[in-house]
Amino acid sequence: MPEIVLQIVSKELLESLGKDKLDYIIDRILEGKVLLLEEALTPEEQLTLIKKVMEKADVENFKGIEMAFYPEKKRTGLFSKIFGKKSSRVMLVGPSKLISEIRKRGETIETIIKVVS
Amino acid sequence: MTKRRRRSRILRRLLWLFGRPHIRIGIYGPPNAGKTTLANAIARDLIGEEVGPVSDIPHETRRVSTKRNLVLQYKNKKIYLDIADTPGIATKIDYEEFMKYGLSEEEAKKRAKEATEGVIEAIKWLDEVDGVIVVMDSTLDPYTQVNITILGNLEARRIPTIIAANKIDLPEASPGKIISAFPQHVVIPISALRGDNLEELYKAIVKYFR
Repeated sequence: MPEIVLQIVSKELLESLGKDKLDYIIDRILEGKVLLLEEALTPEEQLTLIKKVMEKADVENFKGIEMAFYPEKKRTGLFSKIFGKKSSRVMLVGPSKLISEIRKRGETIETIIKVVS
Repeated sequence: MTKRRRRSRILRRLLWLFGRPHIRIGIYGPPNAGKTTLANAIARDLIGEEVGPVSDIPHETRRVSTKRNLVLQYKNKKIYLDIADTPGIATKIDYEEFMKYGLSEEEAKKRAKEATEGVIEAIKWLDEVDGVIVVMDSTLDPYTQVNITILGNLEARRIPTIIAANKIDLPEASPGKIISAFPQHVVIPISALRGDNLEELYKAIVKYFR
């Protein structure tokens, strides 16, 4: 039976990758892995990821990605707005040929992953 | 904010100060939201020309199309606009989707290849614009990853933004959902196809894109 690898990537690893973070993510996606990032990409990183994905895309084998994440938690209160650290949340990203659907329902994200033989 | 954007903002303010305000507006959004229909409606209103062809098949616009020096008259003031109609931003492009609209496999693959290049070009153009109109289809759930990613970028780059909640001529339209989803943004319900409420959009351009 075909297997799908779900790789959970820690925040520490993502931070240690620095500017190579997006290439690391794309390389894993091209290997056919679905990634759960402990810390979501920033909006700029998301758009750069889309741009890099489109640069790698080919019409037959790699048509793109699916991704889902929660927006960062709103910081309330003046002190936390000034001094508080942004609390980004998990992000799911993987090749669109495997992820057929992502449903966000309140505080849960459901994804349907296809088994491609 | 990049140096280029800072310079552009200073130049824009100087032009405004000296009575020749000039704004470069990007029209962004997901495929099939009505971006080109809106660009055409604006260009028709202001210079009697169109920007590009429209189609029900997604990714009809695959290159950035511009119209320059459109003159928007508002309260005895002339504002010069450059409009850039951009290809729809998507995270995936599947040629088989295009075949459902009757395209041959060859045509569909060509369209998919051009569409991927169009997404890259649209993203690069974000560095060139002074303000952005994000067009959303008000018959659909607005809370998509593409919409969130586009708006998140505009906020991070501090680019003035107006959301055009398009297709209000359709009975299933619900622009209120867009207003609720993105309360931090100015949302103008419009029908680009019929030209409904474009005056409100023009007022918002003058008010927020200076």
